Amino acid sequence: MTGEEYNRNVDLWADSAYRFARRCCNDDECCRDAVQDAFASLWEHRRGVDADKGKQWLMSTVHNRLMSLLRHEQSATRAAENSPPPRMVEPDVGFDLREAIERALQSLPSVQRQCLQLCDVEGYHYKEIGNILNLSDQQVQVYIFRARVALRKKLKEYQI
Amino acid sequence: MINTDNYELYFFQYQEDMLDEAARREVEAFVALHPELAEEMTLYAEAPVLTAEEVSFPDKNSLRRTVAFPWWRYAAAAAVVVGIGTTVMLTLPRQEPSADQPLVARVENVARPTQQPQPDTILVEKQAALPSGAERQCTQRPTVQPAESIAECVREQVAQEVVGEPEWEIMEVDVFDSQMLVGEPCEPMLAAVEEPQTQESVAYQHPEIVWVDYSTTRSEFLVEVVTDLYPEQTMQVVTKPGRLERISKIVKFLQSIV
Repeated sequence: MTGEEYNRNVDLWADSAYRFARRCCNDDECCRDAVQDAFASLWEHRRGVDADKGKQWLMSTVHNRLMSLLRHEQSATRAAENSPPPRMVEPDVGFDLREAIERALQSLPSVQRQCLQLCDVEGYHYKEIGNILNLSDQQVQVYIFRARVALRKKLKEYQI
Repeated sequence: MINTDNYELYFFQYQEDMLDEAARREVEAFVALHPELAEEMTLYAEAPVLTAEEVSFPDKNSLRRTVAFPWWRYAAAAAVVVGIGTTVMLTLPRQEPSADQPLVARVENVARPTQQPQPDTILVEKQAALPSGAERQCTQRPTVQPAESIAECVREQVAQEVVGEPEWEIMEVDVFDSQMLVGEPCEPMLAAVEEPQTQESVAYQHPEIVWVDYSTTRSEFLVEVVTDLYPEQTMQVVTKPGRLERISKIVKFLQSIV
C-alpha cells in the first residue's frame, strides 16, 4: 500500500471503522482511540498490506484494540470492591424503533453485536467476519443467529 | 446431523437458504420434533436488519498523512528530460558558426588583450589534444569544420572582440591548485551541470576544440568539459580578471562531483 492508497483508505473506511468501534464499545473516546491506533498501525505496516485489504485490516485492528481495552477495564472493575453493577438500559415510553434497536443491541454480548454489525452494516461475508474476529465462519453464523433472535426478543419486550 | 447442540447453525443456514433440499427437510423434521425451538426460527425471521448509523469519524484529517513525493520520481523525470534533450540535440541539423555566434576553438599564442571585450564573453582554452573518447564522440558528425579553419576563425574573433582589450587577460589556471580553487558551488553551477545537451552540441560542432562560448552558463559547463577531458593539466582562460576566480570556483565544484 502506498502513501496515497493509505490516504484513500482513510477517506473510504474511517467512518466504517468508527461505526464498528461504536458497536463494540460505548465509550466514545475509546472508539476514537482505537480507530486512530488502527490507522497509525496501518500506516506503519502499509508496505505489507494490500490496498484492497485495508478495510479488513482496519476492522481487525480496531476489534483487537477494543478487546484489549475492554479486558483491561474488566480487570480494573473486578479489582474495585464497591463497583456498581452494570446499569440495565430500560426503554422510555415513546422511543422510536431506531432507538429501540440501538438499546436492544447494547444488551447483546459484544461478539454477537460485532458479528451483526459486520454482516448487516459493513456487508462482510461470514468468512471475512471470522478473519476479523478470529472466529470460524460457522461460529460467526451461530453468533449472528443468536444476535437476531435475542434482538427480536428484546424488541418484543419493548412491545415493538 | 442436526441436534439440540448444533440446531442454531442449521436454523441460520435454513433461513439464509444455504441448505440443499435434503438438509432443509431434515431441519423441518427437527422443528416438528422440537416445537419449543420453532419460536427461535420465527424470531430470527422477524428480526430487523441493521442499517448504517449516521456517524462519521470526528477528525478524519488527523488520520491522513502527508505523502512525500518519492525522490526516484524526480530522478526518473530528470532522466527523461535529459534523454529527450540529448535526443533532440543529436537529431537537430547542426548550425555552422557565423560571425555573430559563439565560437569554439583552440587558441594558440593569443596576445594580451588590449581592446574592450564583449561584456559576457569568456574564452577558455585547453592546450592538449582531445582524448580518443572525445574524438570518437565528436566525429559522429560528418560536417565538422577542420581544426585549422576553426583556429583561424577564432583568431579573427579574438582579434576583433578580445585580444587587445585592456580588461582581458590570458591567465593560466591549474585546475588542481587548491590556492586558486576556492569557494562554494552555487545554483547556476548546478543548473549548468543539468544541461548536458550544451556539452553535446558544442562538442559536435568543434570536435578538436574544447569549447568557447559566450553565455555564462555555457562557460561554466565548458569548465566541466575541460576538467573531465583533461583532468591533469592546466588550461588557459581568456577572461576578465574578476571572472577568473568564478571559473576557479566552478572547476573546484565540478571536480568534487565528477
